[in-house]
Amino acid sequence: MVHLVVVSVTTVIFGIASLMLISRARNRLSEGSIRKYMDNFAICLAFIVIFSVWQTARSIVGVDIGIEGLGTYPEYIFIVFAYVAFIVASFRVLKISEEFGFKEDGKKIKGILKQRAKAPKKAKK
Amino acid sequence: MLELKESFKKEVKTLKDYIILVTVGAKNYQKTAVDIVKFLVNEQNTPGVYVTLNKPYEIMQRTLASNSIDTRLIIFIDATSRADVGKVENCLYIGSPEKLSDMSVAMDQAIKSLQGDKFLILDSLNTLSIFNKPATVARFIHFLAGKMREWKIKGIIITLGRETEQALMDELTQFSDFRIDLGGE
Repeated sequence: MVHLVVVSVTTVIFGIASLMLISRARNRLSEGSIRKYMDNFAICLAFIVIFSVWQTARSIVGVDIGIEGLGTYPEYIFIVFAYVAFIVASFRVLKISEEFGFKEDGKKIKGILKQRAKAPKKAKK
Repeated sequence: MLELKESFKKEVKTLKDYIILVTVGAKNYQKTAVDIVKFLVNEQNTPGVYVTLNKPYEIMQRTLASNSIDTRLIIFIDATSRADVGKVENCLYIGSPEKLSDMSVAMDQAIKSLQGDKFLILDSLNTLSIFNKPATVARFIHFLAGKMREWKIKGIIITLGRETEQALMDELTQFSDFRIDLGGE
């Protein structure tokens, strides 16, 4: 039981520390896609931290961990919200990759440069 | 064209990577920008990234194309103010000159997608100063100069001489390898 409380409290501390780091990072960024992604990520983390806080509180108070127990329901709601937020964040990353991904453009340019390099040689022949 | 070409050729002919600060007057601003791209794309056959803060991509693309510049070799980052954000053809619309974080990520990704010699033109520094605080612009330029060194590219920063704060100009001159003055001071 004591071990469980120690693990839970450590998890909460790590979660809160992560939220603080994200907040610091967010403040350094200007408005835009990257900052929006950070917001999404922070929401995911917030739900997980709330889940951990709730679980820790229950461990300390000593509420029985049973699915039928009322105390467990908010936990599951928070974890469901966290996963929903993860989906939103993942879509955001997908959109960012569409916007900021220049790999195809780079390949096209490489092809054009090759064509241009060949063109004068052909003309000479 | 002749003045720019001579100064440019003199300074950068043998260099693979460099950072140049070009100060121009309002009158010859457009011509200078076009001439620099023409020199890099047509004469040096170098692909690159053009960050436009003044004119939208469509106008810039049309202007360059009408000057016989192969715009297919350029990735445009359009940071002029507009409602929609996203990618169209070889251009990424950032949406606002205030979105410096997005601009940095876009520049990094665009440069890294190109192989061999490449250039990056920032057009222009004074527009950045209109939309952002002087300290923010100074930090951004400091970051950009560091990145340009890291990327080992031909970096060109264009600014209107008269419109740029002297402290910022001094700071930038300190980072750059050369400064080409084409009027405007």
